[in-house]
Amino acid sequence: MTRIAVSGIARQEIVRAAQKAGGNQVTVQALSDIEAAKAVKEGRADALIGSCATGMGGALAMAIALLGRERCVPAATAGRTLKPDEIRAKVASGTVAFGVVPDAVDTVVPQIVAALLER
Amino acid sequence: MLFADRFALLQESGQVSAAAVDSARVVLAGVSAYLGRPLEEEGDGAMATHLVLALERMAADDHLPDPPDVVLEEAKTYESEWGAASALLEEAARRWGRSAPLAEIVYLTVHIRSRMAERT
Repeated sequence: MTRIAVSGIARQEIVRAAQKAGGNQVTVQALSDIEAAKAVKEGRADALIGSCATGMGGALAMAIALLGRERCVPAATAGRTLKPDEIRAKVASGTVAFGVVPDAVDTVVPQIVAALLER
Repeated sequence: MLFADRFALLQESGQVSAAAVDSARVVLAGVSAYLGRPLEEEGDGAMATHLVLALERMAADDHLPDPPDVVLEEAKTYESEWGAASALLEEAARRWGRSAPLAEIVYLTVHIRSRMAERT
């Protein structure tokens, strides 16, 4: 079971997209950005998907603070969305926190979930 | 002090400066006055994080890309929130001898609108 903590302005949309993509292989919990980062840090969640208008700052700031910048990546910003193989590579290299813009939720969240399930 | 732990984490991780935090507290006081209620960590923390990062960008003259047209057009419909965001950010930007970038006004407008909407 892969446990995903979700935060930010699009967290309800991310919860729906992640649950749809992962089915009974994932548990998804909407939390504040700090609580989501703490959940990963303390081992209560395996990954975090944060959201904000840019997909970078607010989506990942608390994750960067608590988990380290090297474990975080903006997966979908206004300018660019990572490709599936790039997301898989990030997961394989230890990335646990992903930032997304609301408009990219339906596209990128299933890809993040798929990559997490493939680990 | 409200958001103290949040801002401390952001400073300790090198993401924001003390100056940005100081400026954020002034702007957040203005947002609180606009909303007509005290701010809270639980519901307003994400906005506080966005704002202090935005002010750090402004201090560094680091500009976000222009917001997508759909976001810009939506923000423009929130005239009251836009006015509040513009006034607060322009005042903050003057500290660094700058003007508030359009993208920052847009995103703070959306945040303020979201906080207004959640309370009604």
